[in-house]
Amino acid sequence: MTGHAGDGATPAVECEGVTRRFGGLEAVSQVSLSLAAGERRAIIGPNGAGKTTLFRLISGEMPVTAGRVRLFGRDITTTPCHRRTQLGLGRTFQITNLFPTLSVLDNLVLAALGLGRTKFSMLRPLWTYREPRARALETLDTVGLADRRDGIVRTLSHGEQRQIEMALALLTRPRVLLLDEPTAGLSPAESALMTRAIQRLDRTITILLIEHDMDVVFDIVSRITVLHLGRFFAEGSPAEVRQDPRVQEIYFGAGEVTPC
Amino acid sequence: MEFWVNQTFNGISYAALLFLLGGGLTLIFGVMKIVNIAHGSFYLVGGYLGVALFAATGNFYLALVGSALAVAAGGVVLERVFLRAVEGDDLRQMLLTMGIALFVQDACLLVWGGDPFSLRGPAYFAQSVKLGGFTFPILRLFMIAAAGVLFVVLWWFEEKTRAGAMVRAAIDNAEMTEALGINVPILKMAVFGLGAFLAGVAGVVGSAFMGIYPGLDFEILPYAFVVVIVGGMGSLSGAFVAALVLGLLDNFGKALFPEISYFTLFAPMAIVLAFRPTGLFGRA
Amino acid sequence: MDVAATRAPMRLVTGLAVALAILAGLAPVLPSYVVILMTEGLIYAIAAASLDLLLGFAGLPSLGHSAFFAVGAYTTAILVTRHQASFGAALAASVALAAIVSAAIALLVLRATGIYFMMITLAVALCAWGLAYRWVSLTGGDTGIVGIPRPRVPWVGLASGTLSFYYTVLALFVGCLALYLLLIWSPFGKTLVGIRDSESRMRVLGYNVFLHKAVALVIAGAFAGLAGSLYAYYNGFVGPSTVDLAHSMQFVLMVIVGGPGTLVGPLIGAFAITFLEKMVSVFTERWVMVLAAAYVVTALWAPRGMLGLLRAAR
Repeated sequence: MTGHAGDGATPAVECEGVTRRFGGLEAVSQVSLSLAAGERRAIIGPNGAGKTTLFRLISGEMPVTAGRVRLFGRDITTTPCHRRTQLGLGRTFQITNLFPTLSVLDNLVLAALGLGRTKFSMLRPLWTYREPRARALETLDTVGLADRRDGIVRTLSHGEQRQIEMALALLTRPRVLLLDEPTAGLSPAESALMTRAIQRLDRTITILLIEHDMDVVFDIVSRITVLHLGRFFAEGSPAEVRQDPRVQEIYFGAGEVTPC
Repeated sequence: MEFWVNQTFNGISYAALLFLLGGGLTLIFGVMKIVNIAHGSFYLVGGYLGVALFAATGNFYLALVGSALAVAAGGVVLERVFLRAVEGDDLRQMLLTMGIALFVQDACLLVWGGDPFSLRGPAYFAQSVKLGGFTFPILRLFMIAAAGVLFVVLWWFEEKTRAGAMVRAAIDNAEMTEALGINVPILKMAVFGLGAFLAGVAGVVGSAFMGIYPGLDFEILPYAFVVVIVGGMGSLSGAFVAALVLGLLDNFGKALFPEISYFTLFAPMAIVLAFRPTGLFGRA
Repeated sequence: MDVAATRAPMRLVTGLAVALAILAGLAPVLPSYVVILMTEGLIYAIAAASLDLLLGFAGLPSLGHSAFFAVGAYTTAILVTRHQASFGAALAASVALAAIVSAAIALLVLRATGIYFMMITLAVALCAWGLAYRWVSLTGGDTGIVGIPRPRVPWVGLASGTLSFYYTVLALFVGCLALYLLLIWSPFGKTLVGIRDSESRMRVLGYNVFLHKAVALVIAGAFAGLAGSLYAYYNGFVGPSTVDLAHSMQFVLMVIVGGPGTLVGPLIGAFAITFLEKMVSVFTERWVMVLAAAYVVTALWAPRGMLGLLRAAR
């Protein structure tokens, strides 16, 4: 792996003319964007703007129809999803995507195992491995769920599940983190806690954030990219985007709440 | 030359039977998304009923329609009473159809015993048409005509009618169908009945062609499944093409390499799955 | 080392050890037809538990498990009757061949998921039945392969008696059980459960989901091949019925009747179905009807099996 992170010259994430077609419909169309290492950027846009689809193209869950994706200068357009994770790309889901029948600790241990060789071990019980367990417990502490470690994930509250969602992504030691509406469905108080947690993340982690709550966006990012109907629409600082009348119009036009 | 013409003709007539069998299964799979192991039972019951009705009335066409309608009615009851109860759980639905298949198998054994039956049909089924030095048995010509007509009717229904459009929508996207205001439960029941009807027709035609006996329900199941998988699950045109390919391959396979002729069933499926996992006409 | 995490596994091991001690100790005082049935139950238990690794743990509802069982059975039958292979050689060859075949099948079936996976694995089993039936020079066709003698076992000699063969199977069963337990407790076993719960999340965590599923299929296929090999020795005859639809589904039924994803459940399920069949057959010829009812009842009222019902009752 190259040590480009942080030198500022090579973008952490680069999309070039990324396109995804479903049948006759272009969900993402010719989107280009570039994130400097350590940058924190939000992607906003009304429903159907193609934000989550773009995430899936960057993470490799879905192949692009056209265009290129680069991670720290390395072309990953055809790299499978799990290899991209090993290259330092992490991601959370808008709709909570955990292991519902497993305990909280096992959820985190699975995340801690993802990058090592231990995951192929078959003849030694998991509980005899110290390292993944230690990392899982440590992360459990940082998200403040230590007392729920033996709870089955399915039985946890939505707010707790959102925290685990974040914890799983962090355990893959991402250098680039894609956060898909981390505060979705959270109460204002929980949302504020989540925002604080994201703010406190290691500054060298590049963050790309999809978020509807503009207060959250303003607290976290320094730049915003606006997508509309699958296309690049506008880009600028939060203040610029907020004042852009065209941006306000697409939100009104689509019958949605304004971003302000 | 005669070998090739005869085998091709035999292959096509066998394909007609395979289409009747697989066409119904692919519709059921496409709309309901279930593994219907009882499909062979529809065939078996259709065959036995056809033999009984023909013996009682002496009219083959009455036996054909009557038996297929009875099987369709059985299918509708099955869907309403049993499958509906465990909707949404693939494994439970599969287990149910397996239980029903075993029940039907044993019930048929009780009613009709272990001896094979054959449906003789009208006298002209035993005759042949001579054309350019080749002979074509009328029974086989009838099979081809029946499958051809049913394919055209079903294709027209699916492509040109409003109900057909609902079926296509359900095959492509089940959730969307509900949102479009289509009465999905009724649609599923109707499609299950239609699939059973086609299998019943296949059973009657098949019992005239190769007889009917205990265990045949499970014996023909591989063919039905491979037709569906090769054609693309849910696609009628796919089932049509797959039946033709498999009917021809099976016939030439049996004639040329009798020992490993089952590879003619397995190999096309393996090849299609390797290169086009969704089948020839399947949508991703 | 997490002491708390070992509590449940230790309870399980204790319970299994007691059950095995009973199975081993009771055999000499039981009538020989019961011991014969127990032998059959153990063989099916090995196969059913291997299917549970797929169906219950990895969430791969394979309906074609009998294909690998049959590969093992036919391999043993052919090697023993035509090439006088030793017990060890026949077992090893059966396991190896079943593993190879399941690796090839895995490449075909793993691109499909859910209901498509079920449909395709079932079609594979049906085709395997067709091959067993028609490939006469290899399989003996409908008549199958007869006259498979009981194995000559190291330290035991010819295991021709009911008891000596029973203990041979029991010993192999214990070995398999130990491996199953290690597997489901291992990191790899945990990844299978992760895949069952959320494939997309596993990918994003850096797992090559396809590879894990393929390895699971190969392991399960190898164990099914071992069970098939023992079945050939047990039955003395291998025919197409080894791999017919009813047989293929019976493995699925055993897993679900017992309780999928529990390992112990399928062992109980295998014994329950084996004993039920023989007991019902004493009273009536309508075993197939009873079996049909077992499927319907399980599907309608006990989709999580007996262990599931127990858990719900508690």
